[in-house]
Amino acid sequence: MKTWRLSALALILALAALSLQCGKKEEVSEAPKEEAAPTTTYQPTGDEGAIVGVVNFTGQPPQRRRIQMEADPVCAQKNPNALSEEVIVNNGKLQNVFVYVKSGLEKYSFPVPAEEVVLDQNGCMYRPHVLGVMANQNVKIITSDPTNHNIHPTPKNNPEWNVNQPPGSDPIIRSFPRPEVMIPVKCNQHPWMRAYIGVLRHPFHAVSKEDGSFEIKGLPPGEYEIEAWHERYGAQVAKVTVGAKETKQIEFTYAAGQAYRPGSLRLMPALVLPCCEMGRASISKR
Amino acid sequence: MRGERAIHRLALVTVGATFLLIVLGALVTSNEAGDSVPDWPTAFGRWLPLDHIVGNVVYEYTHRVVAATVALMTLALNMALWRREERSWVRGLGLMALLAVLGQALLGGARVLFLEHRFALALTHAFMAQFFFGLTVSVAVVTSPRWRRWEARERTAHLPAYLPKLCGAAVLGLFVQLLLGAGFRHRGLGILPHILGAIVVSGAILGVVRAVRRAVRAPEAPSEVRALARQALWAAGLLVAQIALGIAAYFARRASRFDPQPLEPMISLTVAHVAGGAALLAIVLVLTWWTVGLSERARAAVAPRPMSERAF
Repeated sequence: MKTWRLSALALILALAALSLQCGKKEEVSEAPKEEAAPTTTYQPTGDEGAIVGVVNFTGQPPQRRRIQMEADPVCAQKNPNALSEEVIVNNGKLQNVFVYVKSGLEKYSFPVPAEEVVLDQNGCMYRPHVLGVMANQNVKIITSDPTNHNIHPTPKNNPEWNVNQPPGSDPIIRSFPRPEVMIPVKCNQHPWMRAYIGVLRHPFHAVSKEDGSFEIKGLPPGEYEIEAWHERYGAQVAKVTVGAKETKQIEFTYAAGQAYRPGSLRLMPALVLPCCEMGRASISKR
Repeated sequence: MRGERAIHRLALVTVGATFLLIVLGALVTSNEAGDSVPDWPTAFGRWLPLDHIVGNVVYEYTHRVVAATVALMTLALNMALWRREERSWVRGLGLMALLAVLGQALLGGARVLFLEHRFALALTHAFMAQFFFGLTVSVAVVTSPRWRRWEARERTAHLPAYLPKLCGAAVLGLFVQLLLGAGFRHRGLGILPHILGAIVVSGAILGVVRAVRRAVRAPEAPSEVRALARQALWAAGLLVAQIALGIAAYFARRASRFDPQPLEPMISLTVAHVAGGAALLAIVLVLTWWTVGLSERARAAVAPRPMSERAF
């Protein structure tokens, strides 16, 4: 009888732990600050400045892994030497970092660009791997592959959808109504295919290139928080003041060993050992 | 008699097919293939999309085909039960299994179609899979010749009164534990609830094993009770294997978090852990049925009734 009571007590404790876990607020990927409704549509004055910079990487970068595409012979044939694109470091510079204005533009609104941002599926990889759009700006998804793909963004603040795109089919044109940094996009048929879309309420963003450089042009003079986001190494913020027609330089520095993947380490959020807790990269500003 | 044996064999085959289905479902999750076919009940608008079955679609589509086969087998089992089975509660069990498998199919479809409720639906789908599996195991136990022979002899065995309750608690705990495991696998819960659940369930199962071993030692214990010892040993062995698999799967998953795609050994270890959970549930459920069937108090509830008293 004693065993029975102990079992019942332990079961209740387990259920209590479950309910506590269920009650925990879900960790949402880095999202832009909640902003008040802007009052003025920004009209360019000719005084706009720019932010240019570079994303550094210190330490030994992880080796890029070969992607095993054998599950789909078409992919394996078209892209036989595909490597993972999660961390690409060239000469100490980190590629595919999404850099954007996190705050400082609250008083303005900006027209949504008419041009579409293209996301291509080529060699069973997404091209580009990281991209930015404005809320309600169209994303044109095309396929250059002679195999089937499904496009499946998994946002937290926008509607989720999952659409099939056979080879040779028409482009899929979609938009995201709410700002969200970042929205992972994946193809469940080819689980290595992953892209990230940053959705903003303004057009001021850039993605670091092969040499780690980025440039945000056409900024109204003002004080800004600039955030750099990387899928594995997380986010860093720098504050910068841009004067009239001024070009400011900033640098972000990520370090090996600070690996962090927002949103996906929910594998073990309830048991984070102090020895293994991975912090975010520190702020670096010049 | 031949009809009864055929029913039992059909029930056993359904148990086997359901176990295979659970393994396939685990493969779908471990390979992140759950959304590889965006529509349901058709796949890419067709029933047989042969030209689309590449990559992860292999897992999802095979899962659907085997699920449909299991549903048909459950239907056939029910038809056989309604024709040949005298015990209304056994027919009721079969009907519950049929309803569960149909509900499970709808849940699977909802999981594909209603992406915004993905976690809740995946969790319910994972739980219902084990619940349905438990029902098929139950039907297989109570339609077995050994169970029927025991019933016909109208005897009871001296088992500790708390043993059926403890077994029932272990089954309940296993269901909760499977739910917690599914929560972790589908990335909605942390690992801590699953670890706590493992401790609780281990305690309950070890309690069952100890109680069974004590009961078996009684000199007057009939062969059915002595058979419980073997099942208890299986349960203990599976429990140890399951804990080892769980630990291995957890660390494999941790180690694979930066992999560009799901890879071995993470896939095999997590699938084996899911399969181990189902096997453990099955063996503890078998123990539970037998301790209920053999105990004096619970016996009256499952006694057979003649055909004339069938409740249609």
